[in-house]
Amino acid sequence: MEFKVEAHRIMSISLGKIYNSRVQRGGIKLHKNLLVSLVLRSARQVYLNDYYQSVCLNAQQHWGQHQEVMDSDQPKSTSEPAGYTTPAAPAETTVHEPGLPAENTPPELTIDVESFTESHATAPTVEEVAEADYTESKEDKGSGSDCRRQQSSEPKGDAAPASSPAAIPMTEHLVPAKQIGPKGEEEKPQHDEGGYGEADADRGGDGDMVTETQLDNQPAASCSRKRRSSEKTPQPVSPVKKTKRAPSSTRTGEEEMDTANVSNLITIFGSSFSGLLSTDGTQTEAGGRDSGAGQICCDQVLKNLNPWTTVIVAF
Amino acid sequence: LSTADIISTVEFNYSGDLLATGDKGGRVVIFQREQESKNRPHSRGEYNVYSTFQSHEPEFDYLKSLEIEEKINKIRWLPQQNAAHSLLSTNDKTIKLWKISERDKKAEGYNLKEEDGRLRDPFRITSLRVPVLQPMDLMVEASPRRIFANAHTYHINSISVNSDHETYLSADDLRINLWHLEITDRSFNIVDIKPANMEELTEVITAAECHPNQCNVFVYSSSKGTIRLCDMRAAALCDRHTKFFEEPEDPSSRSFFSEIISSISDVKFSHSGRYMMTRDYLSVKVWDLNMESRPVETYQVHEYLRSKLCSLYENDCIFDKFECCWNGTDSAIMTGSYNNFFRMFDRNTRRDITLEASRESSKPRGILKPRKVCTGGKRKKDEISVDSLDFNKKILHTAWHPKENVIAVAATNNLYIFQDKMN
Repeated sequence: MEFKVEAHRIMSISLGKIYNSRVQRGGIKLHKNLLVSLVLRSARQVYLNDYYQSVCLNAQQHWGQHQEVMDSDQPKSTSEPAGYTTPAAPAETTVHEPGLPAENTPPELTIDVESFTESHATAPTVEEVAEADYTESKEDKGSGSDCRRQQSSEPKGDAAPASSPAAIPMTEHLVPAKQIGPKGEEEKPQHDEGGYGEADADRGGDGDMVTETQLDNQPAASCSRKRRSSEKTPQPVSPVKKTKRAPSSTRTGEEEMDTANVSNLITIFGSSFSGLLSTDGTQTEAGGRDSGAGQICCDQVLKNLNPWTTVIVAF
Repeated sequence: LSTADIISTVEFNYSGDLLATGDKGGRVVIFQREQESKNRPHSRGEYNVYSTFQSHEPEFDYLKSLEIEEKINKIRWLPQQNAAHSLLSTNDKTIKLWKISERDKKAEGYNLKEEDGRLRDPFRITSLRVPVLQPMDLMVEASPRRIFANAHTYHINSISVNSDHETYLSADDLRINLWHLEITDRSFNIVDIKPANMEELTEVITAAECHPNQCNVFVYSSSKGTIRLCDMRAAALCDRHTKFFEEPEDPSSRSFFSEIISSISDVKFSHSGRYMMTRDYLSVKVWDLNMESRPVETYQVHEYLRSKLCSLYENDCIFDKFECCWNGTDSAIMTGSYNNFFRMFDRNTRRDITLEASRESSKPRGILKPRKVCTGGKRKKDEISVDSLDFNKKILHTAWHPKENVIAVAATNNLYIFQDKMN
């Protein structure tokens, strides 16, 4: 659990650095941002694996109870946990080698932006896609094809206890408006802008889909994250924008970063990117320019952009 | 403390008589060593200000909406070819060649103008005279002779003069260019590691240097802790290295910050050209150019910081780029640390020493007292504990006289010059 809290904190600090780099004199420093993005990726990996580990343990407990109740003619459900490797293994391996592509990709998490407002401490803030699979596969994911837009609707009752421990540290250590993990196929059709879309489409095809496709063909499964084979590639992250808030101008400290500011970060990165990566790479080296025109169209496709790759690509 | 006064580079010239410093405000200050004189025997070897000039100004790139800092990233002297001295100074985007010349005579007795410059009335001139040179107070003038601009998209981190004395290289995060000192409107790109898709970027160039005597060889270091040696005779574009130096990572020391602390911040050839030295966040490594698999020597600079990496990440100290330098005979190396400490390692005796550059601990002609950082347990007298270190006082830039035991240490906005006590 400590790993997760620490990893979470490092992630939020890293995002703060990326955000601050926009306003530094002299333009965005490519080297520093690259290093920060590597740390961010390592921390995220640890965080996910730690979380996944605790979820699996909880789920297995639930399965233990569940199995006694359910009929034995639902073999499918029992095979699902087997579709994942043992919980301990991924946590171990990935803690020590965060750079390696994870065949044992843990399920992605959806972090509800709204939950990061100061007042929200109640509703479980994290939904476990995997938990949904473990438990009734009939869970309604809303507009299933886009799992990022899931509201903080009730996860399964079984899942709630598992998610709440994670919810508590997360409200304290804000992770800005991003969704950890997925990009997935659902982004592909929406990726039409400039070369960026092209790049993402390329990404979508690669990667290891083995574990995810073993899951049932729930829409949730389509949110599975695909890892690229290149071990050092920063993982894409789609921001979640549930609400559009007026940017708050005050920041009280690194740990309490206003998510609206980070949403703006993503907006700005998106806008600085759009139209830049057209023909050759020389145009991309703009380093974080805010263009008002781009911003509008970018708002709509923000969910498809990843802050960290955008950091790199904005150069 | 004005940030413009923070020293950002220190460099001795080839003879060691001149010492140049650059600061964040874009200024260059050159110090000159006093010659020995019988009148003032104690002032032998003192460095006094010789020339000060504004090398770079802040600029704004309107196309990219980017401010270009005027901070001097590197200064490199050119070999002296006449009475004047020349150096290259660079900020993030533009390299300039400055000529520093002395003027200690002026011509007097012109026919057509007065001493103050006013023109004389030709009808008043009744006789002709030959102007004579009269001594005047020494004036040191710096003038920009070449401006090498618009060749770098990313931030320049290194310049290095080639041993042929005709060319030099400049390196930014992703590219290295080769210039001719006389030609400013073009340069050759000799290394380009920019990926076709920037999202696949995994490493950047952090430093580059020409070999001290083989004019076709240079090295560049990366953020992944690797060094590539390239031979310019092999191909026009040296994307394929001739040698690749990397030490395998110790898996037991892996952490979130392993990648950051393995990033190399400086690379320097030894004067002999047989070795090179690299500086990463916690250590200095000496490599034999004939062995690519691992360094021949590793020196821990401040290993006690390994357990503090998370805090150092938070306060950005982990991104500090320390430089390192050799002494004239390559028997010792020096690098900086925090709390105004700097470290020297004797390669032969394997002894090391920690010294402090601060007003309190350096009295003129006093001897520096060795310092020690207490890493745990009981703190002895005179030791300083890790938690008491001041991480704002960092020594990133040091230089060693090419021939003598004189060192220059930049501590934020102060320059300290230390030398061996004469017998």
